[in-house]
Amino acid sequence: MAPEGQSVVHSTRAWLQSSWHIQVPFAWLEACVEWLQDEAGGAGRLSQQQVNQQVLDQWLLTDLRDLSYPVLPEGLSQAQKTELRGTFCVQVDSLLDISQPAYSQMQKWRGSDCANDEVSAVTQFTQRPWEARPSRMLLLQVTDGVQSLEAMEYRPVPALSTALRPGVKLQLQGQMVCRLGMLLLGPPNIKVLGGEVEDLVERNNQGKVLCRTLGLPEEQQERG
Amino acid sequence: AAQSDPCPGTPQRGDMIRNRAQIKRVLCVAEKNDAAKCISEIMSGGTSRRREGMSKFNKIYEFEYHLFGQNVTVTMTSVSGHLLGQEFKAQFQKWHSCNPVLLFDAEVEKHCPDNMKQIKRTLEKEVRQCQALVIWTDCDREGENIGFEIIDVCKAVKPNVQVFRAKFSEITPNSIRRACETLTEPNANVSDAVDVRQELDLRIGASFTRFQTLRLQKIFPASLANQLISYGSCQFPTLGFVVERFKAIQAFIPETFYKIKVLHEVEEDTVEFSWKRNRLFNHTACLVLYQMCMEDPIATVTSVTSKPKSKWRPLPLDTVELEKLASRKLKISAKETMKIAEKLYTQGYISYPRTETNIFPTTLALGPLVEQQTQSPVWGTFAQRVIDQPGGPNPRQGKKSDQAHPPIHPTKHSSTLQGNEGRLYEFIVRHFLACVSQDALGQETVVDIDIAQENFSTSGLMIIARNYLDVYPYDRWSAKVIPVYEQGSQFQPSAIEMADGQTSPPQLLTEADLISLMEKHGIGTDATHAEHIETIKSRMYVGLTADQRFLPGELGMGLVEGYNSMGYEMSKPNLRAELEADLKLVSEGRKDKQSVLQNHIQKYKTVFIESVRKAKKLDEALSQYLGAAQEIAEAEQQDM
Ligand SMILES: [Mg+2]
Repeated sequence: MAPEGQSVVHSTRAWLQSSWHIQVPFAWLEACVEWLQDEAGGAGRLSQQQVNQQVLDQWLLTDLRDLSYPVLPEGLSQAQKTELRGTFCVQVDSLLDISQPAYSQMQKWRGSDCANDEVSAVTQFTQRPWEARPSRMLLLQVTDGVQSLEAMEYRPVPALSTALRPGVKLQLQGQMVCRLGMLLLGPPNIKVLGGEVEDLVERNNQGKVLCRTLGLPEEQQERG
Repeated sequence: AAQSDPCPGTPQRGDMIRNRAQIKRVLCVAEKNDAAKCISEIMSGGTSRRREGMSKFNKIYEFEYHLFGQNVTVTMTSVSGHLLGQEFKAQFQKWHSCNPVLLFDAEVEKHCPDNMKQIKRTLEKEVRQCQALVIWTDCDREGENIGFEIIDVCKAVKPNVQVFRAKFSEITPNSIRRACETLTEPNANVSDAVDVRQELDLRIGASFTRFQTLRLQKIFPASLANQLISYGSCQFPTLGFVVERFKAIQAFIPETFYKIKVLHEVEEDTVEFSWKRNRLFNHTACLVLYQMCMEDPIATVTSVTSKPKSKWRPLPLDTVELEKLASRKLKISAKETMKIAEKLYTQGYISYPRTETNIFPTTLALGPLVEQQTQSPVWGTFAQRVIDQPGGPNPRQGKKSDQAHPPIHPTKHSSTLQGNEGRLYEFIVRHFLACVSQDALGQETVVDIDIAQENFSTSGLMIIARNYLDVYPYDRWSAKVIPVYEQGSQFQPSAIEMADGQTSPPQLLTEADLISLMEKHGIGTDATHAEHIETIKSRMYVGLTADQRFLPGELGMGLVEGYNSMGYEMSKPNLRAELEADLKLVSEGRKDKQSVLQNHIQKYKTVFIESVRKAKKLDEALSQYLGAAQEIAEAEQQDM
C-alpha cells in the first residue's frame, strides 16, 4: 500500500478509537480500506470522512469472531466477582427475556397465543394496585470476538429489546459489576451502535432461541 | 315488510275497545302447569275452581276476574313448553330418504308431536267458548314463540278471537295485577327470531348428523356401529372449547424459575416479603442477585403506605352469573340450577331467572323485597340492617340490561324449601341482600424494603367492617396481621432464601369456565348454555373428571381435529356467533327473517359441501383414536 494509503488507514484507526472506542486489528482495517477504495474506483476517490463512515458500517456487519481482537479483560467470564470500568465495544449474539416463561413468549412469537387459555370463571375479585407487573429482564449473550459471557438487564434499559438483530454491536461503558460470568447492566452502561451479523440473524432469531430454551426442535419455530 | 306487520288478526286499537264489550270469557294460557296454577291462585285470591283438561299434566283453573273494565270468566290453562316443532316433510324424514345436502332446501313445516296432542285439543275445545285469548308464557324469546304457537292453534278453530299478551317478570300479586292492567300485543319479531333459529338448527343439525353418523358408522363399525354422532352449531363450538383447553395442557412445557424470599420473624409471627421481580427463568441471574443480597443482608424500609381497601359486594344477579356461581359455590350444575330456578320462579319465590340484566330498574322498589326477608331467623337481622342503613337498600349496579327482566331476586320469603331448592333459594336471597348492602371495608398496609438494591414487599390487611360479607359466606376475605414498620428503619431479616418452582399448565375447564367462554364468544344465549353443555356430555363427546372438570373423549377429540384439519373452523365459535348476532337483530325488528335465514342456510350449506368433499380428513383424525378406517367404495361415498 502506498504511503498516503497508510495514512488514511491510520486516520481511520484513530477516528474509530476516539469517536467510537472501537479497536480493530490493523491488518483487517488495511484490507477493508483497500477494498472500499477499489470498490469506489481507486484510491483518492473517497474522502477521509467517507472512508471512516464506510469502515464503521462494515465493522457493524462483521462477526467480531472474525477479527479475533480481544478488548475485554482476560478471564472476566471466570471471575467470581469483579468490577469493570471503561468503554468496550461488543457484539450481542442472542438475547432472551428471562422474566417471562419462554413458552408463553413462544406462543406470542408463533401468533398462536390463545386468549381462551386465560379464561376462568372468576369474575369478581379485588384489585391489588401495588402488585406491579415485574419488569422485563433481558439476558444477552455478548462477545468481544474472543471472550463470550452473559449480561443481564439489571435495571431496565429502554434502548434494548428482543427486536434487536442478532450480531448487533453495543458500547458498554462506565462502571459495571461482573459476577459468575454475568455482567450487570443498567441504562448508563449501554449505547446501541447498531448492525447485525447475517449468520447470527438466521441462527439466533427469537423463534430459534426460544425453541432451544424449551428443548424443542428448531424447525418448529415458524411464525404462525 | 312482513316482519313489521302486526300479527295477522290482531285487532286495531279502535276494534279493541269496541269489541271489549263483547268479551265474556277469556282463555289464559301459561307456559307450564305450575305457572298457570300460581297465576290463577293470585288472580282469584285462592278461589279458583280446578277441573281436568285432556292432558293430565295440564289442569284448567276457572275464576271470575275484572278485566277490560268488566267482569269476565277466566279459563286458565297451560302448555308444556313448545307445543309445535319444526319437521321436514314426510318424504325427507327417513335417514336414507335423500342425500343430506338436500336438507338445506327441503320444505319444513310446524307440527304437533304426539305427546302434545292432548294439550292442543284442550286449547281447541276451550277457546271455542272464549272471545279473548291472553298469552301468559314466559316473557323471553322462547316464551314469545310458544305464545304464537298457542295463537295459531286457537285461531285455527276460532279465527275472530282477540289476542293479548301479559307482560310480567315474576309471579307475585303486584306484578300479575300490573300485567292485567297493561295487556299488549304479542311481539312477532321476537317469535320470528326463534323460528329462524329452530329452522337453522333443524337443517344444520340433520344434514351434518346424518352425514357424519352414516359415514363414520361404516368406517369405524367396531366402535361406532350403533352410535348417533350428532352435530349442532352450538354443541360443536362448545366441544371445541373443551378440546382446545385439553390440547393447550398437552402442549404445555413446564419451565423452572427461581425467586428470592425474605423472611422476618417478629415474636411468634413470620412475615414473608416477596420479590418485586417476582421470578426469573435463569439460575445464574437469580443467584447473582441472591449473592448480592446475602453479602449485604440489611433491609431498609423504603416505604410504608396504608390505604383504605374495599372488597366489592356482588353485582345484581343475571342468569350467567347465577349458573357460574351455583356451579362453583354450590356445586350444582348449570342445567340443574336452571331447572330449580324455573321451579322457584313458577312458584313465586324468585323473579324470572332468565335475564341478562344486572342493573335494578329505578321503578323496582327494593325496600319491600328486603323487608320480606327480615322474618328469616337466619338472615333476618342482616335484612333489617340493610333497611336501617343510611339511604336504605343500595344496589351495586352492573352495565347490562336486556330491557325485559330485572336481575334475579327473591319475591317472597320462605323457610321451608328443602335440599338443592333450599340451597339455591338461600343463595339467591343472600346474593340479593349482599348486593343491596355495603362493600366490605379494610385498611391495607404495604411495606416496601430494599436489600442490596433489590426490592421486596409485603402487605397486611385489617378488616374494618365486614358489611356484605356477614350475609355472603360464598366470598372470603381474611385479615393478615403484620408488625409495625417505620419508613427509613432497618432490620436484619431472619432468612433470605433462593427458592425454585415450575410453571404449570392451565387447568381443564370447569362448567363455570365453559359458560364464560360461551358467553364471551356468543355461543347460545343465557337461556341455552346449560343445554348445550348437557348435550356434549350426553353424546359422550366429553366426560367429567373427579373434580368436575371437562375432559374430551376420543370421539370428541377426533371430530374436532377432523373438522379443523379441513380448514373450516367448525369447532370455532365464529359462524355460530354471527348467527346469534343476526337473531338478535331479527328479534329487534332490525333485520328481515327471510334474508337472515337464507344467508345462514347458504353459509352452512357451503361448509357442508366442502366437508363432504374432504370427508377423508375426518376418517384420518378419528382413526388415531378408533383404529384403522374401513375402506369404503367411492360410489358409496357419493351417497354421503
Ligand atoms: Mg321458558
